Amino acid sequence: MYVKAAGMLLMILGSVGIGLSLDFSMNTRAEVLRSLLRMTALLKGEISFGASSLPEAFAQIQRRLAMPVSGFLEFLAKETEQAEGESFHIIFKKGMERYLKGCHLTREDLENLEALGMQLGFLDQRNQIHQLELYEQETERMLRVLLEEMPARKKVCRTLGVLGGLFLAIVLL
Amino acid sequence: MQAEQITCLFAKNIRRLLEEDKPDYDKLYEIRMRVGRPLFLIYEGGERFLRQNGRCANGTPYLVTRQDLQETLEYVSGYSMYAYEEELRQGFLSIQGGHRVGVTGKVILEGNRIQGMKYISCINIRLSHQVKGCATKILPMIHKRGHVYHTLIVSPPRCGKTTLLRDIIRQISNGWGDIPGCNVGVVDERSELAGCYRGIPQNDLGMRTDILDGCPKAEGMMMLIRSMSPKVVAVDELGKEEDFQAVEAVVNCGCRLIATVHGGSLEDLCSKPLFEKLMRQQVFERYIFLSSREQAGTIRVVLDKEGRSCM
Repeated sequence: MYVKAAGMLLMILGSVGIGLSLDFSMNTRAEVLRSLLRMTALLKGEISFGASSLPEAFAQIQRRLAMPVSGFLEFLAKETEQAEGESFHIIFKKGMERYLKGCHLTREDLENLEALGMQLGFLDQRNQIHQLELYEQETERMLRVLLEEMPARKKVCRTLGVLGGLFLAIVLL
Repeated sequence: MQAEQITCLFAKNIRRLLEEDKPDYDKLYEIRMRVGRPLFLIYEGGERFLRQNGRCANGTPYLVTRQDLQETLEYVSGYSMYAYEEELRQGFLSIQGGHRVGVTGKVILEGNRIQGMKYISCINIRLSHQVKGCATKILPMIHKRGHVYHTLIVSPPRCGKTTLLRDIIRQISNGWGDIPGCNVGVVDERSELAGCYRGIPQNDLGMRTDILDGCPKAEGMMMLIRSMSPKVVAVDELGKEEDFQAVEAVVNCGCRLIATVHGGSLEDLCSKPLFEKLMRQQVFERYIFLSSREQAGTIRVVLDKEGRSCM
């Protein structure tokens, strides 16, 4: 009987944990999107004011941001500086896979960022800023939608977590 | 000169061929890439092609493709052509190591002003070689009892004016023999003297040298006088009217001036109206004439303001 009770408790806790982890992943996504927006603003400044090249800009900016975005930028700075023979887009994609894939960003978030990576580096300064602004607008929109939906979703996740656990416990009783 | 520093500028295909060919980078002056044509390696004594199979004399020359050029430009610019808009308007980029990358292609005009360049079809990578000590013989002739003469180095292109000026600056800055060093201000308008890359001089201009990189000469000379209290001001290639006005200001405020100019002889200089005025006023106290007859940097003659030889 105690074993059953312990099992039920663990099931409920596990289910609550799943609900909380969904909660956590939404928070993480929001945090990473905010960090990417800061990165965009800083990049715009480096490019428009300092006319910095990309390796330089990434190296400057990465110190002001937290992981995982700072790790991503540090990787880009190092790889573009070394110029081992890969195109910028490939380096950008590799950096995303290494540092941003496991950060609870959605497929849309990643596609949006990858599209920015394809546009950076060529054309003139004005177009670079324009591309960054387009990315910024899109990311702000996604963050806004996330923040609007977050309270309700969190509530649903937590509630479902608890209720789901209780339901399983009762069914298996 | 480190080979990796040079080869990493090039597209993968060319990088591989350069690694097989192993040119002597210390003697190499230029590497020229033109779309659809062989890649030239230019030395002091001549030139040769980069071949498909190393240095084999029978090997076919490697023909540069448009893709090679684009890829090379990406690496040269750090994937950031936008950051070099201003430099492209002037037709060259300065890169790490003090080297210069000249580009030609279709110029984009806005009215009469060069806006930029597209369809880039040729890249010329000019390698920077600092020759420390090349000014040692000259220094006693342009200096007397702690006093540097206003000096003008004159020669046609590619005779070593800039290399000589660089070493003069370095030795004046550091001091030589029992002559102490002094503050030298340098206006490096085309980033050829110091070869600054992200603010760090790639060539050694001495420990007491202040460098204004990429600054127009006229404004630069005034800025240096106002804020850096140089004892000596050095500039490369005087040419515009405002440069000469700034020269007068430098000389009148007590700084010593060392400059270079394109030309072949004193008569050549006299025929240029802007120089004719300076020569009439005997502003420059020493004229160093170079030639490349035996090799670049050969000192043909050093004259004083009266036109007498100091050698």
